Amino acid sequence: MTKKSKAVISAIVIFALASASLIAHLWIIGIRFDEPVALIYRNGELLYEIELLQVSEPISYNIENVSKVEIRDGKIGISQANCRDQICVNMGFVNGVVPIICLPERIEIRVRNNDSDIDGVTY
Amino acid sequence: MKRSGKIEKLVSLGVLTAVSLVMFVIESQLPPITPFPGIKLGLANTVTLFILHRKAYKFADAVLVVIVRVLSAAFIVGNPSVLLFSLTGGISAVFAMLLFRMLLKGELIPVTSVAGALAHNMVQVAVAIFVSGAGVLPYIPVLILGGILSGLLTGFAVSIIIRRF
Repeated sequence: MTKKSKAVISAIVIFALASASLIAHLWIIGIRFDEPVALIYRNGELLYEIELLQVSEPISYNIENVSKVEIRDGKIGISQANCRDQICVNMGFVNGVVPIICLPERIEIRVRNNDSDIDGVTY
Repeated sequence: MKRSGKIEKLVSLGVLTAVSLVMFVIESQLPPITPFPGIKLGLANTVTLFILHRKAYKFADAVLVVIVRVLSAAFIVGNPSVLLFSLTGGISAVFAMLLFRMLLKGELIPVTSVAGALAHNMVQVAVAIFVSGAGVLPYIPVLILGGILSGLLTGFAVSIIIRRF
């Protein structure tokens, strides 16, 4: 195979992979639940289970003094964290399938639909 | 190889490890580019890519530089919880890039770089599933996109460096 044909094949494969993942990503962030339930985990242990639409006033939870989880407007997010990189805070407020994960503190926030036993991810 | 050649190689590998360590530390101090965890430029990987494409070095040298860099970075940046991720990611990236360097016969360095970036990201997803469950699955598409973009960028950078030195 010449260098040119290798380059063309690689470009096609990379472009196809990029577009497929872009479409998949847009589809994933577009998924919304009718009755979103947020699950807050620490070290894989379920700490809180909150129906997001039932929360009318903004409330916040202190997770063992390492981070502050806030709920407002039917969305959940981490508003304060002790970690250095602040990735979880930068994830903003969510009510979709993409979870908020704080690796250093092992905190995970997942959102799923109320009436389904299966995790939203399996859809 | 003569003794002076051995010393030269040892010194150059030490310098390359230091370069990749500095890149790694500087990059970890930069603000995140996207709100998604795990997406970064991967500047430290440019050194691995460079070593793999120079005839003076063997494959084992690249693996060694990655291991030394990841372990020292864990001490400097001070985040042992991500050590498992950086170590598995880094090593799988070296192996993926070796495979593609052989397939492409050292041509098309950006493609090799993309393969390394994707291997890095996907192995980290696998580790994350192992550590915290399937919740990370929705991240996969955005990680693939990030891997392609950063892989192309660092790959083009390395091909420019290889051409000059």
